[in-house]
Amino acid sequence: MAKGGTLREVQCYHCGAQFEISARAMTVSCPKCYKKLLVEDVVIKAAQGVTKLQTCGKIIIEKKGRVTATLVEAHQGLEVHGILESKVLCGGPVVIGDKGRWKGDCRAPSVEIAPGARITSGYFEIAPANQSDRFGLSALPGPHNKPIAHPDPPPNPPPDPPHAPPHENSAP
Amino acid sequence: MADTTNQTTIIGADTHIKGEMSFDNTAKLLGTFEGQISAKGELQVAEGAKCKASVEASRVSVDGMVEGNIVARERVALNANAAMKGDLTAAKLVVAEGAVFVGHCKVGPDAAKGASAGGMQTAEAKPTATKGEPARS
Repeated sequence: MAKGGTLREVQCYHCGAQFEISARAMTVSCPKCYKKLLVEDVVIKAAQGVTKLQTCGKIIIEKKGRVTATLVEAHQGLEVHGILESKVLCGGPVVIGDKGRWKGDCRAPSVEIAPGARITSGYFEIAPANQSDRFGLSALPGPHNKPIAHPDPPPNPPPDPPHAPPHENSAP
Repeated sequence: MADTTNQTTIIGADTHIKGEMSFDNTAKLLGTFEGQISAKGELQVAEGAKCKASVEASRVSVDGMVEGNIVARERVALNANAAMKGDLTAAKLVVAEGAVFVGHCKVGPDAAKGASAGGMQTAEAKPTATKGEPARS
């Protein structure tokens, strides 16, 4: 626990566990799965080809920035002023600027698309957390969107009684 | 002869229409529409209105609910109270924070060329989201 500092809630992008960290922390390890987490904001100023770009904070792709990845996950939000080619899972608002270029699927609670932005292709699921059920969408990651997207597996069902009578509709 | 270029057709809140509708200027939907809309001008779907239709128009502005594909030759605006489920093709797209949108999306000057709302697959035919991640197209 941080000494006298403010805390913020984050969600692990590996296992979905939610916990509090110091507001000034830049990287932490998840107390549940022990994997390393990036919790600071990421600013992309040049071309980057990566498999996954994940942070518990925010991702900003600047005008000259370009991200080509299989998955971009930002729990606090995403701003695209450059080029993005990836599947996106975002817990905060997505902003596509007027010079932004987008190619890929997106799930986010809200999106702002400025006139002039170009979206080549993509399947979009944009719904605030309180309306996601209405459209049959599951919860998004991030501390503001409860319940957790990665629930624990259900407990094992109780074993059947040894001499249970056969079900009426069962096949002969 | 009266000048009709700036006239807006208003479909009232207590009106329910099923079928095909076409217009040259602007139409404002306050009620419910089910079917197909093709327009040379602008379609405005007001707050509280429901439009279950494939829409082809120059400009579409949504404050209510739309279920179906939209093809706009110029511009689509999904305002803060808008809820849209369907595929969207437009030269320009403006989405306000708070709008709900589920569907495939193509935006750009070339996107609307040659596209038609009826020719696109419906949102139901596309893969749906798996738990915790967007659907793969």
